Amino acid sequence: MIEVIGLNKQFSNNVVFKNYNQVFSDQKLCIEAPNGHGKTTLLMMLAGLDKPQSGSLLFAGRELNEPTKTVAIASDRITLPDFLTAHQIIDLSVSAIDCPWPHELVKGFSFTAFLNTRFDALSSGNQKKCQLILALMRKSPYLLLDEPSAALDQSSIEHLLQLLDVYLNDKPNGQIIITCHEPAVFIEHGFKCVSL
Amino acid sequence: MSFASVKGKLEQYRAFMSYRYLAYTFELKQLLLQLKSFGLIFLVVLGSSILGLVLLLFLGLGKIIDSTDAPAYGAQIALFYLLLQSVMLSAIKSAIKNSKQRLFQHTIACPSWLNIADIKLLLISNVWLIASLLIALDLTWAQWIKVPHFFVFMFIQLGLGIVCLYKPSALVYGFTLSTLFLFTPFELSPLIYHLGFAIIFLLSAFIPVININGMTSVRSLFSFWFCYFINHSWTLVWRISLLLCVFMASAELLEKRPDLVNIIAGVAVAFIVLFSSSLQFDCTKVHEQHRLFFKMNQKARAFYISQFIPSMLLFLGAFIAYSITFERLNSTLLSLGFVWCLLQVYFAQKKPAHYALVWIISNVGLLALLN
Repeated sequence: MIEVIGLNKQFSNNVVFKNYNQVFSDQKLCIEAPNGHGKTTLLMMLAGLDKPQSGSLLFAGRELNEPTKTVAIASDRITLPDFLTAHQIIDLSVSAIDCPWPHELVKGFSFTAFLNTRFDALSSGNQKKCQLILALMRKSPYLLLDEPSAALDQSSIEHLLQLLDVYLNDKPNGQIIITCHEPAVFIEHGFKCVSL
Repeated sequence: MSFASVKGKLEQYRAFMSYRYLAYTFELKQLLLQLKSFGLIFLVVLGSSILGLVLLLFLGLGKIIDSTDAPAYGAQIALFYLLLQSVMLSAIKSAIKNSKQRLFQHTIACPSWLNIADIKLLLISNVWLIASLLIALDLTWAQWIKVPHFFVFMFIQLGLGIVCLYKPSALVYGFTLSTLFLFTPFELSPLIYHLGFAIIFLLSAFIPVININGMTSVRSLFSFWFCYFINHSWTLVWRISLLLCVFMASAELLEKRPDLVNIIAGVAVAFIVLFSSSLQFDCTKVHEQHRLFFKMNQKARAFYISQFIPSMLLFLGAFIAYSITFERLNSTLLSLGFVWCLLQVYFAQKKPAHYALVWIISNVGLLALLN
């Protein structure tokens, strides 16, 4: 369970969250909100990649000292090194976090042919696949996916849904939180919609 | 084709050219804005010596023309000029080609118009070629016959400009092979040297690009930065070219005024610090861009520290090269320079607005100390 307590976040004069309180208790959640209402910002704060001005983020009742160790995130806001190939980016992440090379994920997303393409030369769909592979390969208990289906082709969306179906099987206290503007397919796979 | 359609085409061409000119001036202004961190330095260092630099430019051209007695030296100067020209043109290439809107241009003009516009803007941008043309116009027919290599030199200047726009990889091969050619153990005439350069650059255009990036395994921060510099070699190329200028100027000055050796070494170190530490501006940008990626990979601190290493390594490399070239290894100057470079790197990262001021004050302080 993730609890957001008294969250305040603003970018210069733009107040995104003002004393925001929310409890995310479902294992599979889809956050819905119009553009610019802070969905990505909330995910970034949950992943420990952005800091709120004040407020607490509790995971199973406690604040995480190093969220990056237990929370995995895929978001466009994380700029991947565009001068490296997808293979090199995965290599770098694999050696940094010491996890096995994600052969199955790469194969499942039909990404093998694009491994040696520079990130900036990948199509937006393949860039999204690369982000998803980097997040999924960590097998973290908390998985945050920002617009995971955006730009993906139909077969990749289906593969992603299959992966998400079984992702929490070995993580009884885990959670998957996604943001999405077209949640219908995710709802079919057990996601609950929550408004921000 | 009717008169009306020809007139229409001409109107379209004029409209396209005026767009390209507008884009060119706009992008040049943007480039100048990017240099605002160096603004004060340009004002103080270059502003006061701009006339001297123009004179040096023509003096160098004079040495290229009159290199019959020392053809190898003339060829060195010529290659150095070509390198500086390529550095300058590479800096403004995107403005010349309007690269950002290249696809848009294809939607409003036929491909040949794009090339014509490129060449036109290249010609008005290439001050090095314009300077050579000014000298060439001043030569009499009798002088022309004596210095045919200068004609070849101008031809290379024009050719390298075009290569710079359309086949920049050839520049790397061309300059590397031409530098090796300079070490030919035979006595060659200036014309042979220049023809050699022309042939080397021409052949370089046909050498396929080697994708070093794709062959590198990236598993550490070291290989990350290595790949960054392979892909953004420009950030190093212009700095190394300017460092080469510092070396050549030092050599000339030391030959003329050996009594001022300490001052010359001090000024050289100041420029080595300037060109090395300014690399931090690029590294800070890379850190800012990929900070979250490395934080996600639990390497935030290591990545933060690693951004300072390229500037310091460049300083050490340049200082050691300077010491070896001029056989003057001064440990005090090395220590001073190292601390100064660290200070500049700090300001480049934390307070870029004060970077130039700190450099100027430190420079004055160092010169006062050496006096």
